[in-house]
Amino acid sequence: MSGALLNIDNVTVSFDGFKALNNLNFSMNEGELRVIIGPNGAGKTTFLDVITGKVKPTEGKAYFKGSDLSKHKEHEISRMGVGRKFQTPRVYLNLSPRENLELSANRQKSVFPTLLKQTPTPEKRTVNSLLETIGLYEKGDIPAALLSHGEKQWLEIGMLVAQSPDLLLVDEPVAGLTDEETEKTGKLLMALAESHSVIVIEHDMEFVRQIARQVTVLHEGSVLFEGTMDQVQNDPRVIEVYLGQEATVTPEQMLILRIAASMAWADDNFAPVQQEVILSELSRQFASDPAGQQALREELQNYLAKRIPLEELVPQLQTPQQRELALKLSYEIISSNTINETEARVYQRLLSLLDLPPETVARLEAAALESLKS
Amino acid sequence: MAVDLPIQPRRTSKALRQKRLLIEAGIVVAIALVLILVMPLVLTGFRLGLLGRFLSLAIVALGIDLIWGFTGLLSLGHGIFFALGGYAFAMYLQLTELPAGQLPEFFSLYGVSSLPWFWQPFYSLPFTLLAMVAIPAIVAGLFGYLVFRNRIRGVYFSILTQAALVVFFNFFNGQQKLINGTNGLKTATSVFLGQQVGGPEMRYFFYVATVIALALMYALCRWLTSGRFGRMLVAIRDDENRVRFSGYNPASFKVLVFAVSGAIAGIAGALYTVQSGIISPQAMDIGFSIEMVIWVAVGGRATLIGAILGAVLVNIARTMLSERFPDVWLFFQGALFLLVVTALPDGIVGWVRSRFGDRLPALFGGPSAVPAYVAEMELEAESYREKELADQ
Amino acid sequence: MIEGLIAGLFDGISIGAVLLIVALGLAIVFGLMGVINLAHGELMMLGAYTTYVVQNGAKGLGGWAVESYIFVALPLAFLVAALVGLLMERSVIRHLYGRPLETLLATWGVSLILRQFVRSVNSPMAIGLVIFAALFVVGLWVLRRYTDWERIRSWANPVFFLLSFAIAALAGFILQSSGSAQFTRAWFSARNVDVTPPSWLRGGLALGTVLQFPYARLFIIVLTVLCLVGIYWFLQKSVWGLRIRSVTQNRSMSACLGIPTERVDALTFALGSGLAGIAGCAVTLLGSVGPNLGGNYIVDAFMVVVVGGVGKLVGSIVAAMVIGIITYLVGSGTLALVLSPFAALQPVTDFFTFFATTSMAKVMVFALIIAFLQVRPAGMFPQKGRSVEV
Repeated sequence: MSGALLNIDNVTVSFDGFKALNNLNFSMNEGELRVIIGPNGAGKTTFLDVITGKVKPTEGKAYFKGSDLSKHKEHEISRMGVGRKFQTPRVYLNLSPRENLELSANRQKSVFPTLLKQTPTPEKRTVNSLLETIGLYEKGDIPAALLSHGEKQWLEIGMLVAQSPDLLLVDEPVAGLTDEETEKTGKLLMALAESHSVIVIEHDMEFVRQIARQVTVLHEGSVLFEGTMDQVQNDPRVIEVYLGQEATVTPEQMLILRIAASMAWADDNFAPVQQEVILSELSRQFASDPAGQQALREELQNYLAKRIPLEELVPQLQTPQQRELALKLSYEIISSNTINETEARVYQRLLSLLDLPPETVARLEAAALESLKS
Repeated sequence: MAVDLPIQPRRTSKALRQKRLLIEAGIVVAIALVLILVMPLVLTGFRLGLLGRFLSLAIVALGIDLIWGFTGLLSLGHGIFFALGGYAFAMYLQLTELPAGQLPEFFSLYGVSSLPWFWQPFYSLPFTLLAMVAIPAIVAGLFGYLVFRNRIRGVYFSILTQAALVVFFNFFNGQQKLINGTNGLKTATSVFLGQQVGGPEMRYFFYVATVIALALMYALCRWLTSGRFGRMLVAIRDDENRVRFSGYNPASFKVLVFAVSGAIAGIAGALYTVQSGIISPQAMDIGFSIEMVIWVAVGGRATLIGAILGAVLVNIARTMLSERFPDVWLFFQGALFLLVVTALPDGIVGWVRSRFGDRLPALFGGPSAVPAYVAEMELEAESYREKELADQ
Repeated sequence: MIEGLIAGLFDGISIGAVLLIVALGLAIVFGLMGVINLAHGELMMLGAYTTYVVQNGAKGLGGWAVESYIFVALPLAFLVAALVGLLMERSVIRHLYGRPLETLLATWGVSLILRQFVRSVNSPMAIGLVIFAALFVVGLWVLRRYTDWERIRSWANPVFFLLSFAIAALAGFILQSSGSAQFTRAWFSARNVDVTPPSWLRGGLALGTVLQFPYARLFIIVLTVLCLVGIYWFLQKSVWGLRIRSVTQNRSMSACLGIPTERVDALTFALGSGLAGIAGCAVTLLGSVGPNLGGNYIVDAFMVVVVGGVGKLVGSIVAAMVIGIITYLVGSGTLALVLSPFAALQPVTDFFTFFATTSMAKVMVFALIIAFLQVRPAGMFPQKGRSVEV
C-alpha cells in the first residue's frame, strides 16, 4: 500500500455505540479523482471528518502521505495538504471574496508571520487569477455575505485551491445549485482534478456520471463496492442499497440485459417496441411462472436506461450459452423495427466481439425472427 | 440570488489608502492636541480629572472591542486585567519614597513585619512599567490558552471569564496580609517623580499621559485590525472551523489577541488608578466588567472610534445622571443594555454609517462594521449549518 | 474523625443542593435555547422577596399561618418569577435568538433593572407601572384592531411605547410629589431584610453528640429532590416535556413537525425562571434577603452548568454535588484538619489551610474546574456524535 496518497486502514468510528464507520478500508493514489456515493447515513461525511482530523477513529488508522492522521490536529492536517469543502458553503461572510482567498492562500499560517508580513505579490497574483477562474472577479471586493449560494460554493472551492492542497475533499458541491451552475461546478472540478487528487461526495447521480472515473460506494459505514461508474450501476448490491429491494437478477443476467439495452440504444432511439421485446424475452428467459415474469419485467425496466459500450460488456460474458443468448436477443431487438444503417453497423461489431461460428449465428438469427413473429 | 449592490466595493488604490492613513493620523494627533492643550482651559480641574478617567476607560474599551467587536469573544472579566495593571502601579507607589526598611503603613495593621516577596521587584520603576503591561498580558494569555485550546467559546467562554473575575475578586478581597484586602491601595498621597500623585501638576501629567496612551493604543489596535491579521480575526468570528480547515490554528490567534487586550486593559487600569487615587477589589466588580462591554456596544463594535466614543459618552451620562438622580442610573443602564442590543446592534457609529453611508469618508473605518443585514445572513447560514449538522 | 467527615459531607451536599436548585433552571434554559440568563439571580431575588412578603402577611394572620407560610410562598415565588421570566422572554429574548452573546448582555440589563426596582419600588412607582401596562396593552389592542397595524408597526410601536411610558412616568411623578410620606415610602428598604423561618425549621436533627443536621438544610435537600423529580416527570412524561426535549435536540425538525417552538421557548424560559423563584424562596432559610442576593449564588450556578455539560440533568446533579462538597471540604478547613496529623504532609496541609475560607475555596474550585475542562472540555456528560460542535 505504500505510495498511496491516502490510506484508511480498518477504521471504525463509533458514537455512543453507533458505528458511523465500521472497519472501513480505503486507499487512493496520487492524481486520482474519486467519487464517493452512498445512501443517507452511510458515513460519507464522517469519512471526511476522519481524514480532516475532526473526528478521531475509535479503532484503526488513517494515513495521509504515510503519516498517521490521528496524531495531528485539523489545522496541521490542512497544512499537510488536505483541503476540505463543507456541505453548505462556509466562507467568511464579512470579508470580501478577495480577502477570503488571500487568507487561504497565505503560505505561513502561524500567528506572527500573519501579523507582521504583507501579502506577497505572487500570492496576490494567485488570488486574482483564482477570482477570474471562479468567476468572481467583478464581485471580488464586496462582502461575501452578498454572494448567491452558488457563488459562495465556488468561492469556497476557490479557497481550497488557494491553499494548494494535494488532496481536495469536496462534500456535495452541487446541492442546491441550478442545472447550469451544476455543470459549471462539474467543469471546475474536472479542471482541478488535472493537477490535484480529489475526493467528491455526491448524491446527484447525473453529476456523478459527468465527473466520475472511479466510484466508491459506502454503505453502513463500510465500503460496499468500488469500481467504474458502469460497474457500480451494474452491481446488484449497489442497486439493492439504492433501490431498497434485493435485485433478483444475477450479474450474468444483468450483463445480457445491458447488452440488449445498448443494442436498443444503438441508433439513439429506444423504441417502445424494442423495450417490449427485451422485457418479454428476458422475463421469459429468467423466470418460470407468470407472476414471477411480471415482477421481473418491472424490475428490469429500472435497469434499461444505461447505455454502455459493447466493448466493455461483451468480454465479460463467460459461457457460450450466454453469448448465444445475447446474440439472439440483440438480433431480435434490431429486427423489431426496421433495421437502419447504424444498427447494422453496431450489430456487425457485436458479431465480431462475440466471435461465434457462422452457422451458429445463422441458426440464432432464424430463431430470433421466429420468436419475433410469435 | 445575487443581490444588486447598494454599497461600493471596499477596495481602493494604494495611493488613496496611504493618503487616508495620513489624514487619519493627522486627525488623531489634532484631537490629542485639543485634549491636551484646549481642554484644560475649558474644564475645571475636577471635570478635567473626570475626563482623564473616562479617557483611560476608553483605553479598556479599545481592548474589549479588539476581542469582542472583531474576534467575537465576549469577555466579562476584563476587570481582572484592569485591576492587575492598577495594582502593579499602586504597589510601586506604595514603596516609592519609603525610608529603607520601612513597610507601607497598612501592613502594620495586620502585624506583617516583612514585605511579602512579590512586592520586592516593585521598588523598581522600569519593572513596574513592564509589569503593568506584562502581568495582565500573561494572565490573560494563560487563561486564554487553557480555555481556547479546548475550543471553549461563545457563552461558555463568557461565563468562565466572569467566574475568573469573581475568583480574582475573592482572592484580592481576602488577602489583607498580602495586598490590603478589601481596602485596596491608595495612591493620592504617594510621590511620583518628585511630585505628589494627587497634586495638580501630577494630575495634569497623568491626564496627558492618558491622552497619549489612548492615541498609541488606538494606533496599535488600528494596526492589528487592518491587514491580514485583522481579517483573520474577523474570519475567526465568522467561522472558526473554516479557519481551522484552512490550516490556521485559531486558538493561537485568540490567545494572542486576548493577551494584547489584557495588556491594554492593564495600562488603562494603571492610568485610572493614579487619576482616581485608589485601586481596590471593587475594580473587579462583576457589573463594572460587563459595563465595559456596553461602552463598546453603544459606540459601535468593530469600529475603534465607536469604542472610544461609547466609553466617554456612557460615562458622561453616568456622571450627569448619578449626580442628579442617583436612583435612576441603574434603570438607565439596564435600559441601555436592552436598547443597544435590540434596537441599535451596530451602535452609534453603525447608525451614523447606515444613515449617512458613503457620504462620510471612511476615515476612521478600519474594516467596516458588520451591518445588520450581514448579521442576518449569518443567521441564515447558521440555520443551514444546523441542517448540515442534523443531517446524520 | 469519621463523624467530622460525615458532617462535612452533609454540609457539602447541602451546599450542592442549593447550587443545584439554582442551576436547574439555568441548565434547562441553556440546554434548550443556548441562552445563559444573567438575570437568573435576580429572579431568585424576586422569589426571596415574595417569600418575605408572604411571611409578613402570615405574621399578620398569626397562629398556624406563621408556621406554614412557606407552603404558600413556594408556589407564589414560582409564579412571580415565572411571570417575570415569561415577560422577559416575550419582550426581549425572543428577538435575540441565535445571538447568545447579545442575549447575555440583554439579560444583564434586565438584572440591573430588577435590582434597582426592588430598591426603589414604592406605591407611586407601582401605580405608574400599572398605568403603563394598561395603556400599552389596551392601546396596542385598539391599534391592532382598528388600524392597518402591519403598515404602521415600524414607527407606531416605539412611539406608542414611549407615549405610554411618558404618561405613566408623569402620573407616577405627580403621585410621588403629592403623596404622603407613608405613601411614597419604598416598599423594601435598600438594606437587607430577614425572613424568619417557621419554628419547625429551626434547630436540627441531632445524631450522637457531634452530628447535627439543621432542619433548614434538610428541608432544602428535600425540596431540591422534589424539584428534580418534578422536572424529570414533566420532561419525560408530559406532552410539553416531550416537546421541550424534541426542540432541545433538533429545533428545525421539531418546527417542521408542527411543534410550536416559540411557545416551547416561552414555556421553558418561564419554567426555568420559576425554578429560580423556588430557589430564592429556599435560600431565605439560610440568610437575609437583599437586592444583591442573586449575585452570591449565580456564578457558582454557572459553573455547575459548565461542568455538568449540556442536555442532561444528571450532569448538573453530579456537578452540583461535587462542587458543593469540594467547596465545603476546602473552605471549612476540614481537609486541612484531616491532613494535619500527618507531619510529612505539612506543606500540603499549609496549602489547604491557605484556601480554608469560603471565598478562597472558590478560588481553588475554579482552578479545579479549569483543570477539569482540560480533560473534558464539554463537561461531564457531553453530547456525542458528528453533529456536536465543541
